Amino acid sequence: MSTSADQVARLLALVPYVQANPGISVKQVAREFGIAPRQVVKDLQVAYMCGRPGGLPGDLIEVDMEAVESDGVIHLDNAEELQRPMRLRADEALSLTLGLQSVREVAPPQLTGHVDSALAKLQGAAGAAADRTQVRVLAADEAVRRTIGDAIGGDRRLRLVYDAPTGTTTRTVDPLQVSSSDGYAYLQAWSEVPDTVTPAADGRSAPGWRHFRLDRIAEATVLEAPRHTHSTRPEPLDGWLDRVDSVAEVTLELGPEAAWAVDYYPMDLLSTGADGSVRVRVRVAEPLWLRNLLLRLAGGVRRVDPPKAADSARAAAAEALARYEQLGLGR
Amino acid sequence: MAPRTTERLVNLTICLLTTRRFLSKEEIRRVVEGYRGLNDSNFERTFERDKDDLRELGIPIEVGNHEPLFDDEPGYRISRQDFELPPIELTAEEAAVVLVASRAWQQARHAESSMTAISKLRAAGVTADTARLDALMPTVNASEPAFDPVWDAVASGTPIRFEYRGSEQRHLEPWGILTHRGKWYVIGFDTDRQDRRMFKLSRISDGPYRDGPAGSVTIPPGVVLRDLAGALDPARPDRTATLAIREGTLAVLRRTASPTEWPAPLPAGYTAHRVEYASTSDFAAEVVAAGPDVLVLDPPELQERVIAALRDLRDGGQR
Repeated sequence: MSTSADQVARLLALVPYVQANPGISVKQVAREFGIAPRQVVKDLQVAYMCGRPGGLPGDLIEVDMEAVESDGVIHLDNAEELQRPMRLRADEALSLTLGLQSVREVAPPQLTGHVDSALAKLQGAAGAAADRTQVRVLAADEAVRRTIGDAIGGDRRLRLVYDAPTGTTTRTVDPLQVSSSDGYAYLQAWSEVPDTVTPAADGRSAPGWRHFRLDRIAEATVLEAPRHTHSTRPEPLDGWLDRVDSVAEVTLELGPEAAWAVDYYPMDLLSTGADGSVRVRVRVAEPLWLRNLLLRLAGGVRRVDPPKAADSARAAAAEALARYEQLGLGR
Repeated sequence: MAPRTTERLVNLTICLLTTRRFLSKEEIRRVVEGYRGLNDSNFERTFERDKDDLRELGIPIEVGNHEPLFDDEPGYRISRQDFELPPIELTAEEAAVVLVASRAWQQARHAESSMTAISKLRAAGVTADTARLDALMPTVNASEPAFDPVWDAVASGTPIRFEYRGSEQRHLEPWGILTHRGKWYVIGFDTDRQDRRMFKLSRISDGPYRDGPAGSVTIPPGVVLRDLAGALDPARPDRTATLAIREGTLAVLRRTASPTEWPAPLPAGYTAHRVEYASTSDFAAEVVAAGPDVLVLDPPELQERVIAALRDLRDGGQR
């Protein structure tokens, strides 16, 4: 769409907005509309030239441009036709509905009622289009989300029992934020050293910011101790793999029966074979993750490069088979 | 010239909002500032483009005739009722969650749509303060190439056709778009199969392309997207396995398991648990992924599958 069309859309929201807020500052309007203050002034200069047919002075929208330029405040008048904003377009309603559904998935249960009533009101104002999306995120059960909400709201520390892939740990954390990314919900929190450190988790036992997957939080308890503040902020969740120092690259060839993995795990598709097999590149930050992936795909993996990368999975399979033999099976 | 175009478009909008009767093209040309200086062909072209621009912004321009006996010349107007946002009042909490929602989108295009939606709500008197909700930050992301065209088709009610999994040609009346654990799906009426179907966007290998007029898709009454999306939830477990789980491992699995007795001796450090599951193949993969930490004791078909997969891995490796 042209820049004029964008400006028209903005003016049709801005004119009713400043009429509803007489004397509002240019700065605040700029902030609320996400544009530069200079653009607000430009928009008002255009609005000043618009009005009812006839084009006589009494027909035009009145803007006190002197107040805008000298004091940075807006007084706009004589725009009765544009007192209400336009209806939401279908895609605007859809974007906002999907956003609200995403909030609902991670919000503490204390907020769910507000999200639902906001959704209902939005649908009332926007019509049927708002009803065409649905979001599902893997989060924690209500009790855990409620406890996290209580801790953040009450500014308290939290005690977490967390089922990491490397083992279960118990630790004290300062909860900061609940977020979601790619279908999973996370708690961002400053973590103290876990009570017991499993050998596999050894390298990551220092205190610091962590992202805890909500569905892996087994128990959460609000502590009496007030939440500590920290001078640093956590790194954003997206792109964490790019920031890990020791990332190994492994190339896999997957048979057609395992090609589904491309859709489910972070891997880059390199090529597709005529028989439906695929070659993919996987970036591995955590050797245990690769081991578990290779075990899961088992015979579907035709080739691993470098071959050594498959050693731990093969050893794990051999160890498991030895246990079955102990049971008198699988000989 | 951009400001002049904006002025003309706003003036045209106000003009068509002010009139109750349909205005003919000539009347519009006479009264709207910005058309007067144009010659005939320039005016025709500009007016047509302006109408398209306004309609694209979602402004409902009605076409009709105030003199039914002389129907050779159409007239234009904008119905205030269709143009204006209906009254909407949000509580402080509702407004705050709406504002958090508007920040969820990671794609610029949808972030902008959410932003304009918010400015409209603000212009309607909604005030929002998210200070109390800073602790909530959901994000919505979509990287599938088919996402934007599917989204547009759903928003505008347009039928689509596309190639699925590299071979099948499908024709769909899209009802809704949904995301489940980070993956996107489109659901609707498959006109080839004459039934409702769900498609994964990452598997759309070509397209989608427009396959009918916008607004021609109607969702049958009684269809609720939330219910249809239920098909993506894991199946209800209807089988039970007995597993030997190594102490101190697999807490996630253990949370849904219940300890049980096993008549035969187990390897040292293992205890028996009963776990419910739905699909033998999915659950077998789950168990194999745990390596030596979990062994299947029962049922035999699950056990055979797991042992076969482990052997494949141990002996196959590099085939």
